Amino acid sequence: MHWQRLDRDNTIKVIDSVKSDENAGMFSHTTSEVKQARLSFYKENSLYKVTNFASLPSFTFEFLSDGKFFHYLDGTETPIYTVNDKGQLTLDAHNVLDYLDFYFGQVGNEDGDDVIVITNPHDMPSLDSLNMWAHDSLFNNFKAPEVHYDKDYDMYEVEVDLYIQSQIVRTKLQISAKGRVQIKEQKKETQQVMVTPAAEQPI
Amino acid sequence: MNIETDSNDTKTLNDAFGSKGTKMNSISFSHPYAESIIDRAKELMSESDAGRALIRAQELKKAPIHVLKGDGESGYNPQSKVIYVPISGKKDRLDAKTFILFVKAFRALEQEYMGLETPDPSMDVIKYAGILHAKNVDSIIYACKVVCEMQSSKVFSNLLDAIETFGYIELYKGYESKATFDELYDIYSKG
Repeated sequence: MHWQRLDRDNTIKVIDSVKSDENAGMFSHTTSEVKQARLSFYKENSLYKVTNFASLPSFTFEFLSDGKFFHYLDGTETPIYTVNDKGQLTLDAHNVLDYLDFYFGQVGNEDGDDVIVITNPHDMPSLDSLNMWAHDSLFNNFKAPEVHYDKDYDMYEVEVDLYIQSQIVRTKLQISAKGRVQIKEQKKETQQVMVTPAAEQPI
Repeated sequence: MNIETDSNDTKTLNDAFGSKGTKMNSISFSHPYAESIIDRAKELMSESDAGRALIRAQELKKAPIHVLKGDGESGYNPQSKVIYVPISGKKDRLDAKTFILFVKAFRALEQEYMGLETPDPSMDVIKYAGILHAKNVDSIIYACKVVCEMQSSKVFSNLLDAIETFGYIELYKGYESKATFDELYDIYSKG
């Protein structure tokens, strides 16, 4: 992703636009920066990242915005679908995997647990923490993503490895023209690569 | 990841905001289940001496806790004097990862009052990084301490999974085997 830091004036405008009364103190003109990154699958909306460096660790809020309306990415599908429904989404065979990566990066699975789209096993987070067995297993079992466009239904069918709850699961997904993502099939053929399944369960 | 400063793309913002900015977005960052999530986090923290000390510090300083919808790190904001903890808007209950974030954020509050203050971002970058790492390693070790004291807890295995997920397991093992601070810092430095 290609991030671009906004200049001071535009940083202030974004902060003024997104800060709420209830959390006004969380944003500061003097210690915050705003970065913007274009997303290949949106016409006019970009990803905005507001970071306040006065806190440690510095905290970051992300938004989708056309520069006018800011949609806070809160871990649900709502802000993404809201932008999609404004006709902003332009999916094609080349960017549909980028969209899935963005979607799951923000939303996770139905319970909000982390989901990572594995288009290249070298890019998998926590790769260094895997033991040798898990590392070999990951690379030996990896399958490249497959993308198919269904003209009749104007949707994409994608088969891709997803990292969910410590497992790599080959998953068949449908992505509609409006960006609705549906998991159609999951093959439990793959291996558990980490041993931390309980980390995201309710306690 | 590349970062540039400004470009023609910001023209969009100028067009949209005009010269005075705008306030047409009413965004609620607060998590709908914040209250029950905080209650559960404090309930679990109370199972350990180290956790109870954190709660006492938070209550003594009357620091509000904001549970925010979203993702990322937790912490303490010395400007607003608020503890903040993010959790996905989809979650309605505390999980072990978020519990660890609570402990680290409470510890970040405590750090402010024990001399390990948040540095000014405009200070010398080497000094800034040094303080940042000192604060970070302290909060991680403290999280290990709390978890270590909760070995008889029903949720201990969940907490240990969270420790591993965050990549703190070697520090945890070091803490458990009574490593010195310098030894723990070495483990932290090796990543």
